[in-house]
Amino acid sequence: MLMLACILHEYAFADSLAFSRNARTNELIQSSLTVKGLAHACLTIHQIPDSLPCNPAFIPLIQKSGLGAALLISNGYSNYESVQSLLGGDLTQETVNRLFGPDRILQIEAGADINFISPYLAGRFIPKSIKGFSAVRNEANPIAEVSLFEESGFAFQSGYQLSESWFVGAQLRTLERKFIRKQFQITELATPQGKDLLKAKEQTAFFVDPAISYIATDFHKLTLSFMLYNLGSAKPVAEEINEPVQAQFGLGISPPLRWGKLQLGLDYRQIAENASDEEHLHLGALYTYGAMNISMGIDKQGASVGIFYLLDKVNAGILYSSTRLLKPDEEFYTQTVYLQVGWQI
Amino acid sequence: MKTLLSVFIFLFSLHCSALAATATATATDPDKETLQLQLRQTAGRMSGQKINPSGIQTFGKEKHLFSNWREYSSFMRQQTKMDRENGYSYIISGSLAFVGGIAGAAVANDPLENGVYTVFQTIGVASIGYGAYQLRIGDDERQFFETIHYSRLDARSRFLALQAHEGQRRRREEKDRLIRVVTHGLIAALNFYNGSVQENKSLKTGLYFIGGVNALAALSFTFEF
Repeated sequence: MLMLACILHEYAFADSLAFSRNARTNELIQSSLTVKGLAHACLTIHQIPDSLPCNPAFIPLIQKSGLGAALLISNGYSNYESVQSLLGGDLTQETVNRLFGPDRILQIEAGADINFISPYLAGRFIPKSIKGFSAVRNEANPIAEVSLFEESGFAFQSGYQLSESWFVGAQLRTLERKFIRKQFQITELATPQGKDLLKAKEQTAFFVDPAISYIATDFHKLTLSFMLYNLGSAKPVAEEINEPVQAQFGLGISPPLRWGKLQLGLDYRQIAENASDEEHLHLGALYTYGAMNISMGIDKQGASVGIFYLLDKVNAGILYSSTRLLKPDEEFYTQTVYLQVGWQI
Repeated sequence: MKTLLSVFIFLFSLHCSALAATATATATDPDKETLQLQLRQTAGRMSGQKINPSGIQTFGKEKHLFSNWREYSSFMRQQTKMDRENGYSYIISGSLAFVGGIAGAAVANDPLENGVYTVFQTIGVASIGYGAYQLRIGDDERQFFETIHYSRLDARSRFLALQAHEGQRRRREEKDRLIRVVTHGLIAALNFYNGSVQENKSLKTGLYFIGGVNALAALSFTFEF
């Protein structure tokens, strides 16, 4: 009874049945390997090696223009076709068995993007991105929880240097998404109404994210950032999706090192839905030396460490994240490996 | 078949953009480019002249960044030191990538994970090679400096050679800029056209995006942003 009370108390989409959730995949946030490695503590990181900067105010700091494409996948990619067919409305017995078999936990992230970056304007085109989570519990009367998203869209960033230390910028994001977010009993699928249970909904969203930053030039590049995130709307409105306007803050520093470059960041931003104030804090570090970029991050959702190599026209990276480090005594935990390969000019 | 052809056209467009951008590009380290640009900008601010990426321009007579060979020599020694540090950083990080890639490939069971570790090994070896190149050879500027430095020319002749070299570089950069404007402009037009006749919505959008990027590149080279 006490466990049931705890579960009901912590109810949230795609969390309540799994006990442990992938720490770095969030259905509503697009992020590269390095940003995931930083635990999304990237508001004060001036340049992200494999993506647009999280903070558009840093666009004037870009020294070299470039165009690149990248492909990111997580373990669980073998379910890609099943997820795709479900989102496409192809609900067969085989798909149901594959996705909602006993004790079946599915976590997947797979996507591609094309990034363009210059000292004046940056843009990203996402032709397709699939993120998903589903879990089935209770053998006697199986209950399934599904959260599957397929998105495509654009993001554009521009920034301006007001003075030696002050920077402003803005990001525009447009998204088209197809999603399924539901909790239901497996037996309901057999009913005539069950066919509509897993029918994908569509939504178009448009957001503007203005930002401002201050970089102290004489103290280890101490950086303060502020961004208003999710200013905009999504239509039609879906009760399953909650994207409130957020005020996000970041504090960063870049202590001098004899070898390489280190950037540390502490951000206050909501990544996980229904997150508490503690869960808004994210701490990340990015170390760059030669062709190597090591990202590390920790927050209440979990810890992550990744390595990303970038040389001339080719790049590749691997990231490991786990929820176990923060809760070593818990029976249930999730460990995820992300892989990314890309090409740039 | 149509989809495969569309994907091929898209990838080819992306590749052509790459060729256009790198046609006259040389391998440079971003930190070195920043140092050069900062030096030019500082000199420009001090002399009150307009700055552009190709150097300092005045109305009429050409001015040069360095007033004598000794200044240039001091600057190039600093550049060479940075080259050496960068070279070592790429060699060390490349070695780590190579060793890590071999170790990871031996442990990983997933074929895609194995594939990424293989790419790590390739990047590692390439990084070692690039680092060795930076360490021992450097870019065109360093090669010019070493050629003049180890010659028997006197200080005045060396400075005259430097002025001629900088003049030639600015003229080359002007020609390079014109070629890039035309190339990026044509690639933009090609991608816009291919996007307009493409049926697949995702590919259409991708081609328009690449067309837009190239149009922006053509504009930026035209007006020297």
